[in-house]
Amino acid sequence: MLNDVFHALADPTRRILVERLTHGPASVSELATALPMSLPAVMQHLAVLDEAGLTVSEKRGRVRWRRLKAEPLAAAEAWIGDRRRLWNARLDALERHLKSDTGG
Amino acid sequence: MEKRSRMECVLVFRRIYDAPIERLWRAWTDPAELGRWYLAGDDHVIHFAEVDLRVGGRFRVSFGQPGKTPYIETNRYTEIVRPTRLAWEGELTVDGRQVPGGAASVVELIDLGGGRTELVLTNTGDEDLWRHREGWIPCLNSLDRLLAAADAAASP
Repeated sequence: MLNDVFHALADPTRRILVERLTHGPASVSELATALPMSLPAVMQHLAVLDEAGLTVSEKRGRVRWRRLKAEPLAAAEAWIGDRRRLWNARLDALERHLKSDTGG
Repeated sequence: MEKRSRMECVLVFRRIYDAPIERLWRAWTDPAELGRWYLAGDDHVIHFAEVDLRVGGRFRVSFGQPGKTPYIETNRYTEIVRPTRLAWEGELTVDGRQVPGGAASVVELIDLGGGRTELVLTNTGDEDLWRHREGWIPCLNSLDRLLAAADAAASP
């Protein structure tokens, strides 16, 4: 699954789509208006995102919507969270260390 | 299908310290100094710190919660430019087992004058470093911001 996610996110157009969807669900035509390409091309990109499990499509009335699924990004999020905690704690500790010393 | 391009997960930290650049350099390169702050959690203690300050040389620090199995971070210097730049690649082990998510780090020190120094720490996890985990980890620059927004969007 991660291979698919990686592949899906390796494309700049699909990253734009993902970023747009972080603001909330959107219809296909809404997503297409922001991109300099045809509707079928956008739909192809959305199909790749769907296959990777990054997005899900749902029908509301006659309009098909896409929304983002956060789970596939969890591994990446875990890495970022771990690193951020580690380095923030460490850089805080460095600050305390520099403050505590008397120039030695 | 299009070629799979190389992707990296990059985290950048910026801090300004009220200390001259040489003081910062010493804090990062002197083992006795590292042994006083190079932890990874506020409740951590540091068990030892070793530094062999040359390109290819190792720097190793053991830290962890008191009474718990210590973490050992083992790094190898890839670049040393006193007093402005220090780079290394490393891994973290606990009880001889590797903790997933090894990374490459670069510390840049910028003399702001008036005894102040800016520190820019860049932490990169790339495909190669990730391979031992579950294959490829997808990442974007500033993905953290994106993920926070994604969580908000995904929750009802």
